[in-house]
Amino acid sequence: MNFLDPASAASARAEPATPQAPARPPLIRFENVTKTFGSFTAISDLNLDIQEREFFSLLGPSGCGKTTMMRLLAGFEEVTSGRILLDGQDLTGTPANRRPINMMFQSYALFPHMSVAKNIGFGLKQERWKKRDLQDRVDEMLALVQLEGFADRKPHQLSGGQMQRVALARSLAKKPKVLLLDEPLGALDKKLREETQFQLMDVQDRLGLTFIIVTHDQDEAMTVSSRIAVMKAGKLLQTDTPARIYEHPASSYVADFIGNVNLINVELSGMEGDLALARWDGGTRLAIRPQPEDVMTPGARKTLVLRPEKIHVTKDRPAEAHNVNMVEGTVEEISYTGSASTFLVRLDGGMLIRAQEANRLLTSRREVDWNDRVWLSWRAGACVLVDA
Amino acid sequence: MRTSRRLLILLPYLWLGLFFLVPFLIVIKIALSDSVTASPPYAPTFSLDEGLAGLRASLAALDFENFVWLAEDGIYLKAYLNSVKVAAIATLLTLLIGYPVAYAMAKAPQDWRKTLLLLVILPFWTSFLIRIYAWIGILKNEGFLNLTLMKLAIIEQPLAIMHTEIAVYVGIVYSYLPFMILPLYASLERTDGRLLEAAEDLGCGALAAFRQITLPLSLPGVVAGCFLVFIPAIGEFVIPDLLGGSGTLMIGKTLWLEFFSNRDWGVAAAVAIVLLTILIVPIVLFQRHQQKHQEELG
Repeated sequence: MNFLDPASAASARAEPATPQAPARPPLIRFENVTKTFGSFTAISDLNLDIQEREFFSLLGPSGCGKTTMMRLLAGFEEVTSGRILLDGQDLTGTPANRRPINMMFQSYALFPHMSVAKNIGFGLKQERWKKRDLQDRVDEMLALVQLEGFADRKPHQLSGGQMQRVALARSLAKKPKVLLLDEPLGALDKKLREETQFQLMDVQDRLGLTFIIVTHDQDEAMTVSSRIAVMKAGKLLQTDTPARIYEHPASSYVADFIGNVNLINVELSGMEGDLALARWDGGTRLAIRPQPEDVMTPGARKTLVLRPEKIHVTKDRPAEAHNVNMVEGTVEEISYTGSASTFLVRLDGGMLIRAQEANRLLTSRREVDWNDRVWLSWRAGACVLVDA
Repeated sequence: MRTSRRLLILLPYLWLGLFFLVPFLIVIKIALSDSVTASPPYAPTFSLDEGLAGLRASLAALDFENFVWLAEDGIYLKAYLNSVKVAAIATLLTLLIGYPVAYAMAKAPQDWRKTLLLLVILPFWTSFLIRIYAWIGILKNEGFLNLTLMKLAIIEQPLAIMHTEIAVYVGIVYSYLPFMILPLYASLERTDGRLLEAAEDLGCGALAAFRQITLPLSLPGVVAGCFLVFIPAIGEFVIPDLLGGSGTLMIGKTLWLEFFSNRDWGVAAAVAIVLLTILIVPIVLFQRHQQKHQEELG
């Protein structure tokens, strides 16, 4: 199952639609949307714009409201207040079967009594397509997901990956303006999931559609999305590109939710040239290159976000420089994951720091070992500050 | 270990042999005998008094006379056909009434369903015979139904329902409705709600979704329910006897008359065997269907 060379699919993503500078009105707009179930507020006064041709991810823990957002868009739920616009048109009151939005369901919801071809052609049949045209479109969709020859199979005769592709073909058959994907790869094993991610990106790019995906898998969201919205308790915490979300999280919650991170409480002490200076609890002086939007008030308490892979682990003390931070500690744990090794280093102040080094050498040649005294160092530009 | 397992497997066979096969062979034997005015009212009877020769003579006296009689006298064929007709129409009526009930039950809020299910089985707490007698009280000329309708001035003359085929239909539909509702409910309740959402998402209206998704997925329940009603309804005796009139010719009643009124055990046994043969066809079909359905699920 090789849909496209992953490398070329990745390069196709290198020039996404420009979400930062929307020249056109958004394809989808959530306007002060609130949704309550009884006394439970699933979505709280939420605003969001999604542009055409975006691959947009809703990411968050279970119960954060991401599935409710999707069901509101699909039309299975009605907003309690606010409104949702599609192409400037208010969707309120338009039932699910009249919306030019299709959904790929979690665990696929294929019709068990229908063949693969009947499943894919189901939406077209509802629109009373001519037999010839319907057949052509079904064939086109089968080719798109590389399932030619499976037209007459029943869903229970397919593997999990094949069912996933039938579900994708079925939801794309009507060429909807927007495709919603509810945890589309959750039931697949890791290797198949990675292949399928590239398949999804390829299909989205080729058909030029807008995809909105709901997932709790941050790796998946990072890989496929042009933008990610991180949600918590019915609110959007941050909506940004994967790189911005990862490297410039808006809060320590977002930083912690996406990937591994060291969160360090610091107190700002002042500026030195273009670097901000801060004091760590132990008194260690740190230099941080602030972001343009950062407000640096001396004395303010902040949280330093430091990703493990930005930290160097060395036995020798690195050369002193005004833009390099360094601390000393003892290696307590090393976990080997093949491509990289993660070191848990206990600082002399008692704090545990997670640092990651790519395994450039064979493990037998690694110079750092358990219980070794090591120096951790990182550049002032490799970490960011968020509000504590 | 081996022996004890064999003994365990043998038990049901022993049970079936003793309480089904042996009685069935006796019925076959009676069906092949002649009717006489004696006790027992058939001949020959097997006995070893006259030795092996006597036994051989008894065997030689058996013949298919009673079956030939069934074929020659049109009344039996008519009774069989009428039984099949009544059972088929009653099954259809049961399905038409049972499906909406089962559908509503399956769509009811989760915590209501157990209660509704209990209500469906509740009539079984009362004896079948008593419930049929209750219908006599409702349907007869000066019964509850007619009195109410006359009180309300909807009719002037009492409706003659009792002792007609309509009363038989009412009785069968009422008695067998739970057997239709339960399998229907089981298959409707299992239907995945997301399938309906998927259908709606792909442009289906509520009615179209019912026709294309719910109905075909509930077909196993429909088939099971129909067989569960049709098979016992063919041989039904109590309902046509108590509610039906002399015009309602059903095979169960014919059998009873041959046995008790005519005291012609031979013909009665022959009627029973033909009925069994007729019933084997739908039972085998039903088994096949169940098996196929199981395979598709697995």
